[in-house]
Amino acid sequence: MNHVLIVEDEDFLVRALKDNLVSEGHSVAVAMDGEAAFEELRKQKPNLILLDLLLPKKNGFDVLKEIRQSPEWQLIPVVILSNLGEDSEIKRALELGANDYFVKSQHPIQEVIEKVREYLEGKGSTKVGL
Amino acid sequence: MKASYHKIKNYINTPFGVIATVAAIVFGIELLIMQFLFVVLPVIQENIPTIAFNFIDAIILTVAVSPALYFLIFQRIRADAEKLQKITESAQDAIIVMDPRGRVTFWNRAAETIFGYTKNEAIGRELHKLIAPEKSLNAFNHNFKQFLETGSGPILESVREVIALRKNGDEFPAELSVSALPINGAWHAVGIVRDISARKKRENLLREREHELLEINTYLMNKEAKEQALLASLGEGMISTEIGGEIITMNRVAEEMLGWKEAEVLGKKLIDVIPALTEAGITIPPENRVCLNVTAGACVGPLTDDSTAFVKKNGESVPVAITTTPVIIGGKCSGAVIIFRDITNEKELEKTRRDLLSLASHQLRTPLSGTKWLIETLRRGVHGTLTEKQTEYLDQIYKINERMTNLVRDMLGVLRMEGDINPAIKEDVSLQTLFGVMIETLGNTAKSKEVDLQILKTDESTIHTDPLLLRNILECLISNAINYSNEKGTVIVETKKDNEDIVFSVKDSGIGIPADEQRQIFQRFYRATNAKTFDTKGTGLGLYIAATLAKKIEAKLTFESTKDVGTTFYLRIPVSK
Repeated sequence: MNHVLIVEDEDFLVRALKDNLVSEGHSVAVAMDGEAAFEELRKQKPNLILLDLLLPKKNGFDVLKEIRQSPEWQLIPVVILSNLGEDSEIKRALELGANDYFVKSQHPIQEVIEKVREYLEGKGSTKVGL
Repeated sequence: MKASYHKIKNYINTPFGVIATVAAIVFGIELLIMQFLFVVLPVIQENIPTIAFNFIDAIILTVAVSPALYFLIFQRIRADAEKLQKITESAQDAIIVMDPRGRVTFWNRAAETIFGYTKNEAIGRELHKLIAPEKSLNAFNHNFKQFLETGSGPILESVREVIALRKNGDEFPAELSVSALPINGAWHAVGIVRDISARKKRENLLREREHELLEINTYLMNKEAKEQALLASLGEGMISTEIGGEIITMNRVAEEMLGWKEAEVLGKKLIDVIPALTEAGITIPPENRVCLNVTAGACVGPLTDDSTAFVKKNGESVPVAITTTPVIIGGKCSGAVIIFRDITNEKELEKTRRDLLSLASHQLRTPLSGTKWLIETLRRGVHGTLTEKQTEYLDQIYKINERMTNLVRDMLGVLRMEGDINPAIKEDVSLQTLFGVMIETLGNTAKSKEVDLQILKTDESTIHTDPLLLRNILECLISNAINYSNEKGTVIVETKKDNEDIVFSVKDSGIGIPADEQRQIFQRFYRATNAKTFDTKGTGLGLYIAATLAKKIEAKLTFESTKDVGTTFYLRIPVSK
């Protein structure tokens, strides 16, 4: 069973993501802020991280930066799910090592679930969904 | 008594008078010698042989000697006269003698040349009527009267400039000097006239040149003063450099902005004195400085750049918008002028705007994306199968949410676009990649409407433009073409090279734009009447955004359309780099 970490502060989005991932047969951990993300990481190393950018305590950019600097977690695929859609933000996230970037309102959840499946099956390739 | 003295004196002055006088003197001397020999000497010394000399002998001797003496004296006089004539004839100036009646008695060759009258024409004529313009005759008459009486006058013993008259009626400037010559108790006048018309012409020319130079000098001084004032009052910093980049001038604003005084930087290289940073704060290597494109021989420009910061004397940096223009003199690049202004406020404003936009878009999108994903989750049956009615209602809610999402997207797009001060970037864009993204983004929409989306193959592989803006424009045009096509319609995207342009065309077989509404179709929030009834979800912003973005990448967006037949949009992009 693959383990997916959702880092997202909006509970309705967490619920939608969690319901779909669980129905796909994955185990899911949820962190509602940036610091909680590392607590969850330490508890169980996930196969994939879905990361929001605007987060309490520690923003998603910093979380991503730390993950990519950590020898333990740096190879975990990170898919950004954010409603920040400015070019500069997307560019910054990709430069920091994000594997994918989805502007949530522009993409059906099904696309996200398929992307997760691709990564977990080792087929994921970096692409940006705007 | 006095008159008879003058008569005798004048008589003696003639050649005959000279001979007669000489003969009389010789005769007198002979008489004295004879008296000495025959009267005085015999009384003193009786033994001296007597030689018979008498009065008759003296006369004979005089008559014999006088012609010889006359000849000698005449020869001498003639030689002197010839010499004098040669001198007067070779003179460059006119020499004229006037008798007491005002008539010409002497007229040399130069006088002939200058005035145009031959000697024969001039001799005996009234001088002033001959050579003086009419307007000066009155003055002459007055002065001449005084001259005849006293041998003096205002024009004597000085050189003065007068206007003289030639035979052909031309007046000319002349230099005149007059001397009084008393002959036989009457005053004659000797005039020397120099034609100074050529000299005057030269002088006038010189004066004109001098005047012109003075005017030019005044003009240049005024211009320089104006330029100095302009530079001083210029609200922007200005630095001018030699072709090698050495600073020539720095205006007051530049001094204040950078903390340097002009005197401190003159002759130094701009790139050494004023380092530049990228927006990220990284020092730009000297070889990458924009000004080098102008100063290092390339002579291109004007070049604009608003993503650089200049480093001040105190090490702080100031973001600037720079325009670098080559100075071309005589077709050769001789330096550069760098105009720059402090854009700290603009950058701050831009950052605030960007932050606000970013936050607004995030806050608006988040609930919409939540609704969307929750509905999608329900529709997937994650929480059990939905009834038909539940599915129908959820679909309605989903559509409403999508409409709101699109409106937010478009409105944020407009805000972003209208507030964006950054110029479009230019890079080689792969058309294959671009169309791949189009298929990926819009393929599903086309499929769901059973619209046949055809992107035709092209010979062009790349286009030099802003990739994101081009993508946004084409995405808008293609998505419109799909949206306003009937089911099972066709949308054809074609790329062709036309002269110096690349033209994208997006052709649909849709509802078309009514002829009387075509003029307004690029206006913000405008929707054609048939579009409103055909698709109620549109925001009226798509074509407005596309047209504005097209302008930004220097492209032209046009269309041709027939209602109920279809529309073709053309995006014409110049390919020049």
